[in-house]
Amino acid sequence: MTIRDGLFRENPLIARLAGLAPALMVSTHLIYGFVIGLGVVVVSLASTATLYPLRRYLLSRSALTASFLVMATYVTLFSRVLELTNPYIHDKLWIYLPILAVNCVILYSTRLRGESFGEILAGGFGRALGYAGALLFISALREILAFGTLSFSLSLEGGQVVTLLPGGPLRLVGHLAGGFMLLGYLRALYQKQTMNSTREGEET
Amino acid sequence: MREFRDLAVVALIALVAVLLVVLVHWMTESAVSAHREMRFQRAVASLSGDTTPGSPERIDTGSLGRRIVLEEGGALYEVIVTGYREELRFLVALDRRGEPTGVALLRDAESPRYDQFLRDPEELLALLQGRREPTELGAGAMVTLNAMSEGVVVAGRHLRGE
Repeated sequence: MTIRDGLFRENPLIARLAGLAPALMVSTHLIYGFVIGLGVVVVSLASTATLYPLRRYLLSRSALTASFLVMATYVTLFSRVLELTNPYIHDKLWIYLPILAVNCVILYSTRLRGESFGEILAGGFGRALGYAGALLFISALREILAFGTLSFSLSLEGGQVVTLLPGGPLRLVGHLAGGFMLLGYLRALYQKQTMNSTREGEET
Repeated sequence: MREFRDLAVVALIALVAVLLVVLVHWMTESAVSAHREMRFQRAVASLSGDTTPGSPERIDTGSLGRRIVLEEGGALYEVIVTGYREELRFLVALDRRGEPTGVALLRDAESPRYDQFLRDPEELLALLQGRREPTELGAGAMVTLNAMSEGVVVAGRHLRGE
């Protein structure tokens, strides 16, 4: 699996509908999507790099336990760094930051399928990047539609927020139900695109 | 032999993970505490100047515009509550009769949890006015922090007013 596959063809969020809890609950502002996406990329890469040299010593039945231990450690460290740098966002992300430790996108990356380290790392990176990219896109779309703004940074003092559509034309998208609906539309567009590509491939 | 090695590796990962997390928490605890204290003091410091009859001073808790009101002759208290995850700090405003006029969770005053905080104002008031030790508080002082757990008031501190 290449990085490109993870970004588009096998995008974890749009194509596989993986990691939905943080994706839908905190993707109401661009910056929240960015932080969760960054967490997935960082923890995925760090966990894969840590587990790769240990895989020859682990039996398959212990691999999952080891993955959870390593992922939980990196998520805790990531959470602590965020708390130090921006406690406001850390508080807002609440439980959705710690549960990155059981995020299936990261978990799948640490399954270490493939031969070379580079191949495994590229696959995991592609998936994590695809998830982060889709999350960033959904967050931006939801924030613009629901609140009419784009938040590049948030803090107790206010942060950097750009107003694009004052008031927000579609408040529903800011709620969970609206998030599901938006994801459904994106998924439908993805399916349509995939079907077109398959049909074109069959015709040629 | 292979099973023993597998077990040893998992145990080693667990040990390193715990040590690493404890070490990082220990190294950063003072910085995080200082940050929390600074935010709290900033919210308290916004209560500057005299209150004027008819125009109660407003306390911006720094959380998306949610505010509590300190009326003339009222008092402001800090209340610390322990929850299942962490310690939460509230600002509690009382009027001149000692009735609570507003409660705000400093970190996230948008949360509906602060309403449940006042499940038993009398119990809370006893703590705030020093008539009761925090450890003596009964079930009435228990506050619902979220759907998963409950917390208990552990300390109160007078900040401003009478």
